Amino acid sequence: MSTDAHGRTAQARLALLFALPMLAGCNKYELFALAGYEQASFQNDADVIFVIDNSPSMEEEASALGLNFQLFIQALADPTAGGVVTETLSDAVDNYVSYTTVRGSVLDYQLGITTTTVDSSRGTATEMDPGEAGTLIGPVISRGTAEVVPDFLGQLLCETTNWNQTNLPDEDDAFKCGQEAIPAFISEEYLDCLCGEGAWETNQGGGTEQPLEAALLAMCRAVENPPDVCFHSYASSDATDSEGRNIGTFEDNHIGMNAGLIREGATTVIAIVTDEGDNSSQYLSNGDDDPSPYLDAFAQFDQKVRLAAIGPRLDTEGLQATACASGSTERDTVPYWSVKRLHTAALSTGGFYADITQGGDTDCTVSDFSVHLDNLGSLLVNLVNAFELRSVPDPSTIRVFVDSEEVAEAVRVDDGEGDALYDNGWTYEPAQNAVVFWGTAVPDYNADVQIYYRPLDGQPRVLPF
Amino acid sequence: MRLLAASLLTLALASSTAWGQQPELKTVDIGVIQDSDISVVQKILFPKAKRTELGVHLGWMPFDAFTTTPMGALTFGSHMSESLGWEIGLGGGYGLKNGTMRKLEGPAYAVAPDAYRYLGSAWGGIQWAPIYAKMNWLGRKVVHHDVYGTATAGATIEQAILPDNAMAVAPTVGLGVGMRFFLSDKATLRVQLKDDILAQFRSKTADSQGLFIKQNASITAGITLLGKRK
Repeated sequence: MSTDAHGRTAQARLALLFALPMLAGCNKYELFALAGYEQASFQNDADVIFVIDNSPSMEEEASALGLNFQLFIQALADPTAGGVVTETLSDAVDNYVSYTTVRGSVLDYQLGITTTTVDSSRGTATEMDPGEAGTLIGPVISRGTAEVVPDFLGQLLCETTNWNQTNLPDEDDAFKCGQEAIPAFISEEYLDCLCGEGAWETNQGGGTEQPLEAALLAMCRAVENPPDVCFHSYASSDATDSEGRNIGTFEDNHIGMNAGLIREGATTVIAIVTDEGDNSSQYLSNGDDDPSPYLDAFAQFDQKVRLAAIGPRLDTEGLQATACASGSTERDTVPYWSVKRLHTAALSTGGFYADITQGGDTDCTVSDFSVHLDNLGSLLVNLVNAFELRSVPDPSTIRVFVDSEEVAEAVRVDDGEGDALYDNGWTYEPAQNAVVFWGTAVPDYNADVQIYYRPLDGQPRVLPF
Repeated sequence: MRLLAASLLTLALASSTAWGQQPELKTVDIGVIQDSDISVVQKILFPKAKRTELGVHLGWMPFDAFTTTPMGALTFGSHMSESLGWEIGLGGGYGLKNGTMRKLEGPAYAVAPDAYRYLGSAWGGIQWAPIYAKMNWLGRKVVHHDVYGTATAGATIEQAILPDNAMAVAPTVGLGVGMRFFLSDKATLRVQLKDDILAQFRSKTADSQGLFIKQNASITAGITLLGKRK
């Protein structure tokens, strides 16, 4: 070998020796996605939009909803407490005590009611009557309002429900107008007391139930900058109301009609109560059972959206849906696809779907709305127990830390009835794509929550290296 | 008597004539000198052979993508000859998140690398110092130094930076180069670049990949004391 060759070889070895350390920059590390929250700053605002079917067949269900509504409010703790304010150390201590005692007490909720009626041809044909096309029945009801229960009942029973007077008892001997307690059943006497003499008799609604479209329009009317998906024709009429608004097409002058219903950063919970399915035809056709266009539309808002539906009984194996007409003892068949839409939408958004009826296939009884409202309350309370992940995780890689202490995964406990109960810890809920805390593992007020996981679909952003 | 004196004079004259002559030049034929016949003969002013060496070192591991690590080490070794010796060492440090990792963990990316921070290591190995040299420093001072390579084997203990703080003890081999500047007959300044290669098991990802090859490249500078020649 020549001297030059020797020199080149030596230089190459030297270069290799010095290059070796540089390879340390190429050390391979698995990348975990990190979801970090501070419990105090974790969003605890929930805006609930009740979408009530106001067709005549719904009066029994509306009664049940009204009679049990107080339980729902109680599940969310003291309705007069208002939202959580932490400005001083004293506030923080109070909030901590309150939070660790009643978790729902830190939930700052708002309630609004609209109906499943989108076409304004009912009622005053050239006006968007309250509750039609996603407009609200009445003012937004806030937690800080002293009269949350009476206000909600007033909107629900006096201005939404399409009562059939022949089905209502005239009097209730146990009820005295002015009493705070909600009566055992709804009577004309109670409605006259709550709403004013006969003020509840003129409610109209019905036709084609379109809860998904109504929910979308309610959100569109609530935000300052509605997404493009809002600007569409939702009814065949091109008449204008007394305010100059087209009653069949969402236009700029519709913006702000539901102002205050949706707060920035809050979770929007759409609670649909209907004995029919969804017949929205603006973005879907009859027969479509996939609600994706509406889920995509909801996703265009800067809100997390949960959908809970109390609707017809759905038999996913027999591909059949049934419900009960008011006063009927026999079940009627409801188009399966229309109910499946609601079922899919509820489960896809981390909400729940419940049967509006109970009993066997030959029974027609309204189900226990105290259970439904309790579930809805739990859904809302879980907003402060469930921490949504940005990417879909490999569940086996999830590690959860609260104030730098690792929290163990919760173990499912069999309650004998098939319901999911867990001991203290966390679980991953695929439907919500969230980590949910249980029992004493729920992070305390001001706790620092960190959730690490490996995303199945890679990193959501291109990394800077 | 006159005869003796004449003889001594004659001898003296003859002798002075011989001293005044040039000596006769003689050449020796040694044949052709080849490269292999040449060896550097240099007096090593600071010999290491048969001496021990005790050192204290400070350094940094700056090359990792997500951590930067200040570290220190204690070493003890012995030189069997001027070019060959052995050494054992104990190192310690604490890996810190660097700017890249903090940026990734921020809300913009919300990504947490499963990086491990260096905590400590122990090793033993050999040193080969084939070069002893002097260099002139600004024309004023001559610095005696050697250049060595080192190969080590040992173990490294590291800890996950993620809050689970999982520990990992990794078998380690290392390669390095360094220079030893002789400050006196008893003390040297050593600078070294060493690359430790770890076979590290990471528990969090054991389901998919548990074993990772990791490199800890360090730059150290230290003072060593040479013992008496045995």
